Amino acid sequence: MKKLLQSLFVLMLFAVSAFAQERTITGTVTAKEDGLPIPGATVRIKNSNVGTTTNANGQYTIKAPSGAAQFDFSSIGYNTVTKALSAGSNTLNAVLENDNRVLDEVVVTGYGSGRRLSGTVGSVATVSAKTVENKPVANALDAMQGKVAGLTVFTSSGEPSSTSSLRLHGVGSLGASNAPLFLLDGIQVDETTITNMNPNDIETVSVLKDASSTSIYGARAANGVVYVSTKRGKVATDATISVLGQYSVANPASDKFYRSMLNTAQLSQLQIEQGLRTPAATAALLAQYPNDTKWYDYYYKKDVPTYQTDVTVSGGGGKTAYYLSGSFFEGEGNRFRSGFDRYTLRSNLTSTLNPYIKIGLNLAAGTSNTETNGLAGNDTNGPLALLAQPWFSPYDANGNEYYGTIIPGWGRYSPRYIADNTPFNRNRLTFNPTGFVEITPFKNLTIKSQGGIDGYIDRETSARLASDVRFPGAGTLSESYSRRLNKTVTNTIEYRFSLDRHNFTVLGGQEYVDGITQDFGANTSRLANDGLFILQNGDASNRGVSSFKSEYSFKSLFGRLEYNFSSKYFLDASIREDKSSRFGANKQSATFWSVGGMWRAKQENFLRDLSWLNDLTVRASTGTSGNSAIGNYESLATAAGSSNYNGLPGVIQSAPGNPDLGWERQQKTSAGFKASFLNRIRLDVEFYYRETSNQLINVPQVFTTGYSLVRTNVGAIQNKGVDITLDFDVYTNDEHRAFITPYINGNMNRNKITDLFQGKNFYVNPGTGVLWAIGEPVSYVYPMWAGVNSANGLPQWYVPNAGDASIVTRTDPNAVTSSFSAAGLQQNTGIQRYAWLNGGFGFASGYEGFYLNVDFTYSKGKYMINNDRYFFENPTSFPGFNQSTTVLDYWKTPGQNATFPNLTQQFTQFDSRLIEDASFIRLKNLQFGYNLPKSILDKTKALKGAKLFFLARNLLTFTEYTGPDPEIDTNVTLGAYPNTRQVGFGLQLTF
Amino acid sequence: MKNLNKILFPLAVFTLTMGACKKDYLVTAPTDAVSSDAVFTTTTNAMAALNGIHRSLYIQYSRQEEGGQGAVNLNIDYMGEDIVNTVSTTAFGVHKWVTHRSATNGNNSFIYTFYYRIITNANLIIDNIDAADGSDADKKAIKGEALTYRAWAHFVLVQVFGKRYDAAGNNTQAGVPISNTSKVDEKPGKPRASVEAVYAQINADLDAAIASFAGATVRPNKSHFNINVAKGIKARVALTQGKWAIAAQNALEARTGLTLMTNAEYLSGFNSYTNQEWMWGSKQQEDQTTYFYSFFAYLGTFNSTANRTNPKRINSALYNQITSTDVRKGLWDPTGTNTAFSLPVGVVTNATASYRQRKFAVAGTTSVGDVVNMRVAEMFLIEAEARQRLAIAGATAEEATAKNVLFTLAKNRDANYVLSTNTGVALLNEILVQRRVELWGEGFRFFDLKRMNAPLDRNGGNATVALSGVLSVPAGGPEWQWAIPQAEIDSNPAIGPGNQNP
Repeated sequence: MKKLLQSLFVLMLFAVSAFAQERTITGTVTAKEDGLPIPGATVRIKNSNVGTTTNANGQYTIKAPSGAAQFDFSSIGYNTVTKALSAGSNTLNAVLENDNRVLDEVVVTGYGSGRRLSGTVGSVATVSAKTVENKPVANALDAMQGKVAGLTVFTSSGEPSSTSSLRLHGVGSLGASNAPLFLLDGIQVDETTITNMNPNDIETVSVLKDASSTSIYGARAANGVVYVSTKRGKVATDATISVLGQYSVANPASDKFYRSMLNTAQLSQLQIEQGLRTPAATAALLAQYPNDTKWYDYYYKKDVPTYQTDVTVSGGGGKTAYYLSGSFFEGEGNRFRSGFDRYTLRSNLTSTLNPYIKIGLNLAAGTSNTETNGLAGNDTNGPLALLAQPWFSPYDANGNEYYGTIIPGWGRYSPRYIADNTPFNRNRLTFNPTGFVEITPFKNLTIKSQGGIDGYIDRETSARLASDVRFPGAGTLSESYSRRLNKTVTNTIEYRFSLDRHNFTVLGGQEYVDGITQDFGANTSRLANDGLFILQNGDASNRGVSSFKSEYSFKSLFGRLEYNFSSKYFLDASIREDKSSRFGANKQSATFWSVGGMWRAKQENFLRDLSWLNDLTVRASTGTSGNSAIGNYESLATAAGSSNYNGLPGVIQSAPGNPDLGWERQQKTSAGFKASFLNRIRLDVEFYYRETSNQLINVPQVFTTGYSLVRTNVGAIQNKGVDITLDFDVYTNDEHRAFITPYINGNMNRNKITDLFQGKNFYVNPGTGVLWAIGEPVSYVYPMWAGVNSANGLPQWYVPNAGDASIVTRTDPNAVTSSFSAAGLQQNTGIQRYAWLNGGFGFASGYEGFYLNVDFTYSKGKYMINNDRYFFENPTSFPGFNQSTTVLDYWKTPGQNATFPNLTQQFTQFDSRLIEDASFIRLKNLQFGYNLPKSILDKTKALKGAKLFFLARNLLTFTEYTGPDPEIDTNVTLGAYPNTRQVGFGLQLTF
Repeated sequence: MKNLNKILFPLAVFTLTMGACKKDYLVTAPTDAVSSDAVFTTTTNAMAALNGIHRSLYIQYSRQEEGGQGAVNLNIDYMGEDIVNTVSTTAFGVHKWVTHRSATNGNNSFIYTFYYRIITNANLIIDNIDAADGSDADKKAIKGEALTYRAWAHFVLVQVFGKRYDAAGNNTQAGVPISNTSKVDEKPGKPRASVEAVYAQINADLDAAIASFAGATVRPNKSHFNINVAKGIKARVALTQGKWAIAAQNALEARTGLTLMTNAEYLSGFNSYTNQEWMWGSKQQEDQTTYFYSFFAYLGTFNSTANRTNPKRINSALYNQITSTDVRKGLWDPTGTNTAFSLPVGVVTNATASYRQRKFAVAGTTSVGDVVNMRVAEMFLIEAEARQRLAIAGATAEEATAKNVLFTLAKNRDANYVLSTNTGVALLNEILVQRRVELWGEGFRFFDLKRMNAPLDRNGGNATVALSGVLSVPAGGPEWQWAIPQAEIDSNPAIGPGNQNP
């Protein structure tokens, strides 16, 4: 009944207005945050359904009856504003404020001036500063884990200086890199540059996922683009000064693996059973060494600290905006001699010189010091030091450490002593200047020149001290100096124009990217004194020098046409020609293209009044891009000059070259939609299909050529999958500024090899356990374990199919063998190398000044070869050393179903047992904080904000993986440095 | 607008010209390597390419058992009966006659790739040297050397991987792929050529090399080839092919003008190519040590685990055939306890090390030493053997020559040696025993057994099953062929699994 009345009322209004005098109202809708126009915003006469949308420049025109005075302005991601028209005026502008739930970021991706996400055809996911700031790690990308559907981020080490491995939409190349292109304010940078900058300088991280958004980056974009934008000031605002300090402590995220070691009683008993020692000899041994050492507790330091502090100042005068920051980070690793510290400075300036010219200059510099322990992997003074027998102890009876003396019984020096005496340090000076000039000779035409450098200078020192008691007076020293300069210069011209409701943006541009790495080093040995530890004090007959240079260049032309009709129908086409020095002379050039379309369905009249549907956008695109992430000179046939003979110069053919080496090509097609409902639920779904061909694979060569591998364009792989992102406001209460917004996102991906090389239908990568077979995903190939024969305690493996073992998996219980052969028994295990499901979930919540953010990340179907178990579950191969408690379940009597075979057999071989499910769910980030209320802040007269927070990283891990860390991203893991579990707190004050 | 033009115009110029004015913007070149073409512009550069091959004979390849030609020599002698280990070891495991039959064995692919790498480099020199700037005499020398390398490398390969050359047969059995051009073939991979075809290629290259050395620049040192070495290799090849007259003639020509070493030199460690008897050796400089990869780290006095715990011993049955006045008797210590042997500190010094060697000793403070590849003594032995085989086959006049040739060598080694009274097969056997003693550790024994179609017999001496795996292998079986590396079969469409040795 109520609805009927409402309808009647509307009808009456219409009837009245039909007779009323009409007038034309115009105006512009802009965003409060950045003052930029909002295209596609809805403008409506209040309490009517007469409305229109803004064009690409945020402008609108509406015919309104003279009586209409109130207008509603709305757009996705902004709070709706009602504004009254002043008497006599025909102009009404509106400024919308971000609703802070859905960000409609301005993305500056793909060249040209900024575009709003809602008006971008391409699939771009944006992560805001909130996600990456105030994390207890140097590497900002770690916090991206589980935040962008389709982007898999793993951090493979607890080393404080570690970087992450990123993969977008599966494995795009079997031969070249799978890392995305990293851009920092438009300049191509190395991933290590991100680790060497202050994460709190980051404004947004945008991930470009589909062809429509990436193809314009051409030859480097096949694995997606990660675009990092830094913070800027705002004109005409007072300075905001922010000071942050935080502290956290770190421990290995999981110690389950290390806690599984045998104790003294268990190991000594096992060794008696093995016949290594009689009970009497054991008693004597344990009387001599009455310890039960947990070597893990010695090897991993507890509660190592991470400090972080930064100061930022931002603001702006009439024409100039500035953002300045300085930061300090210091993180210690849990292992000996592992750490990272970093100082950074940044100054971002933008200035409008006159109505036509705008300039900007970002200057960033930093210095960092990385300390790593070279005793890694299978080093028995490194991770395998945990094989030490528990009855030996690194401390004597009085608790004094055996430091510089051999540990009695164990017969080795302590791993800490060795690490301390073989230091490695890398001191890096990073600088990342970027500048631009933007000229607007007349309205809507923008000419922009931008240049920038990603550069660093490394000084690396590795040494063995002269005082090392193992080699007294025989110190070694190696020093190297390495400089890298990558330059990017981009020139673009862009013109926007509208013909009626047809809006166009045309962009053309050219770009040069080149890079050069140069280094030199020297080394010497037989240094006698730690105090005189310089190169010239070494043995003159034992000196070496080296130098090296490597260069590459790219030269590109590109263009893009964007069109939309009434901000409703969008069409986007781009083209790019790239030339690169890395490829054969006749294969240097390639052209990439994309076409995409988008329909903002909600703008249609038939959906406009569906009150439960706030937004519906459908998009699709297809296009090509390339991969060129290989060595700089792989197309060239070269002879190396390091074969001097008898004091005379000598050269030898070093690489056959491949004059036909060209681009790895990818075609990607995506389709998806974005919708929001009931003012609280937001859903984004995107399907994609990517096919990579002409891959840059190192193809095994006929030995008679004199070479074993040559990089060749061969093979094809496809990935298809879907990204889903869902978040919804479970509860909102504006009065108490309360909300709970859970989210979940995920990517399901299937990869399949569709072509290989040399007519092969499969290829086993030597020594990796990885199989490429046509029609199959990248899989593991290993002997298949068939259990222990309960009758005789012998190990058993399935006998593979004759002929096609790499294609067909055969687990016939009647065809098993106890005779191990790595090559003879290997077969396709059917286990995939890459996880098929990755993503994240969590929630953001707040109440008054309190907030709690919880972010989980997950990976399902992730498998790794746990090489640690080969050493820790192999008492007959490594007799005497400590082992995992699992080995106690070995075969002793007929009929027994045991995990391991009898004591005459090797317990563990490289077989399918080691391929473990490393799927995991990890509580990546947790932050709980309190913002002081305004009422208190106002009393201080100075403070604008004060935030106290508690933070945690990797607080919880759920996995069935038995090794040190499931997050390691590799096929074979041995002696991994596990990620850290960190807890801490911080304080941020804003003035 | 006028002001604007002032800014716009330079900017536009800047925009258009930047980078584009640099025509070679997309041309980059490495610094640690040069373009292959640049190597052959002059004879000086081509000589550097030749030096690169010389150097490749003693660099550290991927595994420790891959120290270049010295490592190949060890493999070949370890397949025979004259070297005996002190302890059972996995190093040079071909000694036990099992691993060389595995297509995935590292030593197989090492030997295969080692020689084809030499051939690839030699092919580039052969194909490009004629167009280089430089004197004809230099070009002739460089080309002659490259041809000799190519012939020699094919010769070693076909002996390892192919079935033996049977002088009585047509030799259509599978040999190894022939690589005789640097031009990239349209079809990847070449098939295994017949043994006959491989020997034809080897002889053609050697004949071309011998012709090229006429009027060539004199070689700078004994790491390079000259006409004598080319003829010496020709003699080896002919001996393997059963072409006795050619073998005898070339061996004689090869040693003409050269002299045997003194007894004092004989005991000086076999580590310097300055030795007057050496015809060809790899000179190794102290600063190019290969550490534990070196020949002298396995068979020598360098202080390595392999030398300390496993001093190499001579087959005692062979040792006992050496006369007591022979200088070579002093190369081995039958007691294992002789402290006069300057072996590394900590070496096994007890009866288990009896018959340990001191023929080879390091030359410097590290594991360096020159590796001998050809000596005058071998030429005497080839000639004596070839002539005696001719005599046995009916040319009886050759026997006296054979005796005299043998006498010259044996008298040099043992002052008390008198002209042999043996005849026929007995004389041949005497020559062959002299050959075993003389060339011990120099990489001949497996090839000798194989060319003579003789069985391996380690019985009657100090070899045991525990140390050697097997004590006898009958002649002519499939185990005399090493397996073609699996990686070659996988990648070479012209060699399928069916082309593997049986």
